[in-house]
This record gives sequence, structure tokens and C-alpha cells, in this order.
Amino acid sequence: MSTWQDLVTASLIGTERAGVPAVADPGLPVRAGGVPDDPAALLLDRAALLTVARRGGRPAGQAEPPPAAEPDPAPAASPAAGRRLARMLGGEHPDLLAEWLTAAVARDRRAPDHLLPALLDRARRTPPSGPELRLLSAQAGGSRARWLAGLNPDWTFVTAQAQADENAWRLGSTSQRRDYLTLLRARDPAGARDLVTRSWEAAAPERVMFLSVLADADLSLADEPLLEAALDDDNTQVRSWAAHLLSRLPGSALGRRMAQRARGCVRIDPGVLGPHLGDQLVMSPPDQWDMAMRRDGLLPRGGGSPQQLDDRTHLLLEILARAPLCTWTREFGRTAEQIVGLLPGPWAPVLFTGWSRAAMTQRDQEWMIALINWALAGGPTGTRLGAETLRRHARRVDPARSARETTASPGAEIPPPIRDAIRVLRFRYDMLKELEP
Amino acid sequence: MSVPPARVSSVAERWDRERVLAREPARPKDPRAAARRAQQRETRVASGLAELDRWLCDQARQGLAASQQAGYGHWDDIAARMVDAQAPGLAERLRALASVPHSGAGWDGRLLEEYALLHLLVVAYRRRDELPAALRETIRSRIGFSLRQADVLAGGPPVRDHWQVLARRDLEQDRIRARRTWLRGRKAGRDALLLSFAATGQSLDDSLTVGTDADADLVFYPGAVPLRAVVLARHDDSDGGPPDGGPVAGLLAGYAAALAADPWLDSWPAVLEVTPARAPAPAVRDTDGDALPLHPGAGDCWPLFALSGGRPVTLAGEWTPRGLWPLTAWDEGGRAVTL
Repeated sequence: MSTWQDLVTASLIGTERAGVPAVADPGLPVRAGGVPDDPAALLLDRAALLTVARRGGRPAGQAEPPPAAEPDPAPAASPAAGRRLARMLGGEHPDLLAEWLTAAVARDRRAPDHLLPALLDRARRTPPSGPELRLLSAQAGGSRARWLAGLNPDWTFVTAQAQADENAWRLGSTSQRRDYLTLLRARDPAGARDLVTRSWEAAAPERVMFLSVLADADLSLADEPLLEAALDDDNTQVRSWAAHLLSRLPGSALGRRMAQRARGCVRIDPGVLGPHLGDQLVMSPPDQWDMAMRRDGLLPRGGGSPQQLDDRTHLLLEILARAPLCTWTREFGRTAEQIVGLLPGPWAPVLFTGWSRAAMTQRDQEWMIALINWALAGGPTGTRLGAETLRRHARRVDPARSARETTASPGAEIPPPIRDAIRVLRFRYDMLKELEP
Repeated sequence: MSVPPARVSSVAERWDRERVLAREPARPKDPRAAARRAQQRETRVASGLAELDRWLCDQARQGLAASQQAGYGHWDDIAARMVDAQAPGLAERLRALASVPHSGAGWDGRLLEEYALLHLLVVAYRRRDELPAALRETIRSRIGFSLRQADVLAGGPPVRDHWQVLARRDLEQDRIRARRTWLRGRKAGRDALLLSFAATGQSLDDSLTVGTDADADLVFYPGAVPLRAVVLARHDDSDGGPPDGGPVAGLLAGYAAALAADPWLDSWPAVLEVTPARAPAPAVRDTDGDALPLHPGAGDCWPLFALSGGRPVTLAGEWTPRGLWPLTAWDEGGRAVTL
């Protein structure tokens, strides 16, 4: 046993009961001025000498670094983009993380290496039902993320996605099946559709998962038969997913049915002041609800009678949210901006929300820009419906093309929903600019 | 990596803590009264140190085994008596000891080390007249005798260099936050430590950015290993770029030489070119194969691993008896990343 360990043992027992071990290491100076009479002081003297000797004479140790990561051909994101990612991982606008990652992946930039641990931890904590962040983190992390996954079992999802194969589909958990289907859909859309069709006998939560995977990718009319059949599914969630997807699909039969319903609800009364002067939007919400509407995912709120105004308004909103936006530009012969400019007072929150939902679902930037610019100029943000729509809208619209200022009543206090929307738009604008190559 | 609040340990910091809490007294008008007060202080410190030594010897006599059952009061009582004896540096060191018995395997050795070094400080103060002036200053500062910053600035020759801002570490205790900023002169290679303090809620000095160079005049506090410095004048800042990382052997040799002059030194600037390793325990290794453990309190250091990708990186940190505390690493683009 070492001299130091002898001293530690003696100090644990105490010099009342233990002797003070001699310190005999060669090279240590002999204490000038004699030895103290108190054994406790002697012990501390010797311990001090050895402490400093051990700290100063400490030898280097041994360690084995892991094999080096493969080099990643993708260039790193700019320092400014990295700093913003760090802020987001620290809690600033965490809901925009997926957008940062999507933009980085699209521009072939990788996330800064030192932020990957925080990013992968964040992605790991997202529920398996929303795997987007995990997939994006793995992509934006590149070879360094795969290397880290080999060192920390918490992050194995990074490599698990790359390894997903037929076995994962047949034997894996729901989240593994989901990953497999997501990758297959990206590589081979028709193959993924066939796989879903063949597997339609699965339990309802699985069928919901299939449709949610299709929702993350681009849809085509080839997907329509599958989705149209799903409208007759016996599960409510499956039906509503199918209706949602069909309303996103340009040229779908559901879209045409919705357009027909919608045209009956909104018309333009020409103004008396001259061409287009004093034109008004006139609303007539649907006064009946039928099984065809139910099949297309239109449900009266709370199962109440559609004769009540609230439920009629609700149905109108749902129809507007699902009808193709080209219905209006064609029907009225005007641009989105011109139509939005006609939004009438009491109906404005409903039309704004319905059209905003349609614009977001159909990813129609023209309408989104027209609507958000109208809202930022002092639109219907006083209502809860309008404020919530603006909140979601500001996260989806192209920030480079939309206004990032309010034009409403300069000098007056800006309503909080507008202020927040402007903050989000500016944040996203800077974020996307920093990720430009 | 975020640095968890840790105990502020050095005497110099303790002194400044007291100064933040109670504004620095004005320079006395009457030199004779000042001399008398200084003499009184020496007497009180001397008797406080004698009491501390009796307490330390009691611990060694009765055995440290009981320390694991002792509460914080065990150390707080003797620390409070050191405050009364106007030795705040010792009080700080003692208060920090309360957590040692619960710091995992090897706690007994670490507690003995600390007791032994305190004992050494007592003995050194008792025999201060036999020691060189610089070492005497080190001992006084570790006990808690304060120097006015104005006296420091007036006392030493300014040292001008392009000081690389290597790393920064914030510590928090009670109502005080302390910031340690490590510098290294690009021309002369000299290391410097800047300390700044703020009450909780107030912001710390943010004038030096890690990863940049500051062309500045520094004045060093006197001591056997003059590390602590204060900025006399700033001339210009520049972008800097990574420092030159050295081997492990060089760091250990430098620390050993510094310890020979100041045996209480427990935080030493490290600038290394190393590859992080996880096995058998988190560590860094240089190209000679020499490894150093990472400080257990520094966590799992994943950002450092992610940055290195298994390749050597330039790393700045604090070398302590328990291991290396990594603070800054430089990425492939030569930019400083705070860990």
C-alpha cells in the first residue's frame, strides 16, 4: 500500500488510536525546524508534503479515443445560423426548430457539430407519433450524428432510421414501421402506397399512422382512390385524416364537392358606386347538413342541430377550409389580394380563419401572403379565432414575401397577436437568410 | 456546456466577494490609525489561525471517519469563527469542505488533502518572516488579506501583449457570481486570470469575448505565481484565432513548477491539442498517448466529443487536482466554441 494511502487510513482512524506513518519517499525535503510534538500536527505536516508532491508529480494516464467519424461532405451552416440554432435549443421559438432543420437539409448544410448532442436530445424527447424532428435531426447531423449515435445508446434512432428494412416493417414497433414507411415514401411513393393498400387490414391506430406518413410527403392524384376509400372507413380519425389529405390534393373529387358547397355560401354583391367600388362579400352559411357532408369530414360542432347559427357558422368555416382556393379566384375573377380586401366586418374572423386554413393546407403562398398582410394591417385579431389563426399563419407563410411590419394605425399600441406575429416573421426571415448558401 | 453553480473557492475571490457586499472603505485619512488597525488585524488573524490549527489537529486526532455523519454546521461553525478573525479566505475554503464527504469514492483522501493544505497555510503564516516576499503575498491573499485594486495598478509594471481570451468560467455562491477569465499572451506566452464579481441579478463583466484577442496592458497581483491580473488599459481587439495547443506533459510540468512556488494552487490554465476519449472514463489524450481525466463535475462533455468527432481539437480549460474542466474548443473553422 502506498504511503499516501497509509496516511489516509491513519487520518480516518485518528491519531488517538493510530500511529503516524513515516513518509519515506525519496526526493522529498527534510523538514527544517524539527518535528512537532503533536502526532496530529505531524500527520497533517506529512499529508501536506505528500499532497503537493502527488499533485506535482502526477503521471499522465491512459485512454482510448473512439475511431474518428467519417468526414461529411456537406458544409457546416454559417456561424450566425449556428448561433440561432443554439438559441432555439435553449428555448427560443422551439416550435421553429423543424423549419431550421428542413431549410438546412434542403440547402445541404449541416448543423454545427457541437450542437448535435442538444439537438439529438431534443429529438429523442419528441413522441414517436411525431417523428419529423428525429428524421430531420438525423439528416441535418450527417455522419457526425451517426458517429455520436454509436457512442450514446440514447441516440440510436439516428442509425435505426437508416437501417429500416422489410424486417422493420413486418416485425418492428409502430415507430419503426413508421420510419420504414416514411423512408419508402420518400424513395418510392407508389411502392409506399401499395404497401399501405396491402396493409389496410391493420388496426385503426396503424391506419392513422399510414395516413399521417402520407401527410408529411407530397400527394398525387394516384393517391386519391386509396384516400377516397378511406372516407368510408369505420374509424372517425381515419376518416378525418383522409378528408384532410384529399382537401390538400389539387383536382380531387372531394375538392370539387367542397367547391360546389362553398360557392353557395359566399358571393359578391356589386357595389353601386361603380366597377368594383363598394363591392361586398355576402355570406349565407349552409342551412342543412347531410350524410354526404359527413362523409367528406364535415361535422357540426358537438353534434348539435345545424339550424343554430353557431353550428351553421362552424360548418361554413369547415367548408371554406376545405374548398380549393382557386374556386374563389375563378368565381370572382379577382386575385387573392383583391378578394381578401373585401373581407366584411362581422364575418371577417370566420372567412380569415377558413381561408387561412385552406391556404396552409393547400400550401398556397399567394393566399397566405394576402391574408397575413391583411391581418397585420389590423385584421380580426381581437377575436380568439383570428388571433390563433394569425399565430399559426405567421409560422407557415413565406417570411420573405410577407410584410414584417404592421401598417395599422401608426402610433397606437400594436395588439399583442400582431406584435407576436411580426416577431415570428422577422425571426423566420433572419433564420432562413442565415441558412442561404 | 453550461457550467453548474459551484463553490467559489479561491481566497482572492472570497476577498472580492466581501467587497461587493460591503463597499470598499475609503482610504483612511490618518496613517497612524491605519497602522494601528492593520496591527490589530494581524493579531486577530494570528489568533484565528491558532484556533483553526487546534481544530484541524482535533480532526486528525479524532479521525475523519465521523465526517460523513457531520452536517454542514460542522464546517460552518469554524468558518464563521474565521470570518470573525478577519480571515475570509479560510472561511470560504472551510465552507467548501462540507460537500467533500459526499463527493464519492476517495472523499477521505480529498478531505485529508484540504485539511493538510489549511494546516500548511497556518504554519506558513506563523513563519512568514522566514519566507520570500512574493510567497508571503500569496499566503496573505489566500488567508483573505485584501489589496486595493488601485494599489495593484500603481504597484506593478504593466505587461502589454495581445492577450488571447481563452476561456471563461462562471461560478455562483450565495448572492455572488464570480467570473474567471483566462488569458494567454500571444507574444510572451504568459498566462493571466481576470476575476470579476456581481451580485445575483446584476450582470458580470462582459467586455472580453472568448475567442478574440485583446491588445491590453495588464498589471499582475503580487504573489509567488502571479496569475491574477487586472486590466490597466485596452488598446485594440482583434479576431484572434485558435491558440497553440500543447501536449499533456507540458501542462503537467508547468503545473508542477507552479505548485513548487505556490502549493495551494488548485486551478491552472490548460491549452491542449487532444482527442477526447470515453473509455475507461471521460478523458483527453494527446498524440504522445498521454491522457488526463476530465473533471467529474464537468458532466459527460458531449459537445466536446461531438466537436472533435474522434480527431484532435484545440482545447482550453482549467486543470485541477480532480481533473480537467473543459471550457473552450476551436472548431474546424478556427472559431471558439464555449463548452
